[in-house]
Amino acid sequence: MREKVLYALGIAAILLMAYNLRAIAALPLDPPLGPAAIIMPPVAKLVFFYYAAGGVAIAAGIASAIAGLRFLRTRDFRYDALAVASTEVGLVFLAIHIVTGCLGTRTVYGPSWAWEPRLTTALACGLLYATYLMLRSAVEEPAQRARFAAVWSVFIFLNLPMLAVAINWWRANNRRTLFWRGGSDYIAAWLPSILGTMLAMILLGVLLTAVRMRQEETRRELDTLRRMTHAL
Amino acid sequence: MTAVTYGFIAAWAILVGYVLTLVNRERYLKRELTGVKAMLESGQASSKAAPAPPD
Repeated sequence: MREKVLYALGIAAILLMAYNLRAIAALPLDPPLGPAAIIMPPVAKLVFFYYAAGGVAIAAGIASAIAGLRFLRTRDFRYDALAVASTEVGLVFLAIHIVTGCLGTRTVYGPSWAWEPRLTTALACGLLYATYLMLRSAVEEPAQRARFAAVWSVFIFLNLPMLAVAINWWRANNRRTLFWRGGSDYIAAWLPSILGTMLAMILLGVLLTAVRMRQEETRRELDTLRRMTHAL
Repeated sequence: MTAVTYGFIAAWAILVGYVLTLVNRERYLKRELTGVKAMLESGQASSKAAPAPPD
């Protein structure tokens, strides 16, 4: 049953992504959708991947923190598996967010890395996700490892709002110009494809999290069996 | 090629790379699990076959 759900999720994600790619390719860059075309024509369509991947990364961070808190309350290791799975998948989507952002920055500013606020905070969050995974591999004892990781996932969650507010806090112009100076026609025409891509990526994220979570459960079963083998 | 194409390729390359990592990990875990289960079964069989320790 679980396998079938995973296959269905994968097929739905791929179909939705294919449909959206077709829609994105068909979107015109000419006026009245002009503001984006005038400001940065070649990279305007990167926002479909950039925002979708960032959204999934934030959702994964939130899921990890909730699972961490649930683990601290219940000591149920399934929540620990969910926390590690969603953090790892979140790191993958954050990498996509940063890479597509760098390509946009390269076209607008010249260098690939211009310390643009949203990308810088995304990098900081990515490093926090990476330290979560490093922390887990550094602690041997399973209960202690899960407890430390749960606390760290809550700390990561507290940093996530920075991704959303970085632009306003540090007053960077490019992304705000691209999206919010575009006017209602621009947003109305592009928003369905942005949301569609985000939904496809969320489905992919859920699928990958479910697979990774199952692997974590298998790893725990393996550890238990190894301990039994040593006891014999 | 445009930046969009590069972005698209980069995004999918990262995803495909992660999926390959997951597949490799799955294979490793299955192999380890089979090995440990076999070891456990052989250990249990040998402990049953061994004579009981004297009281």
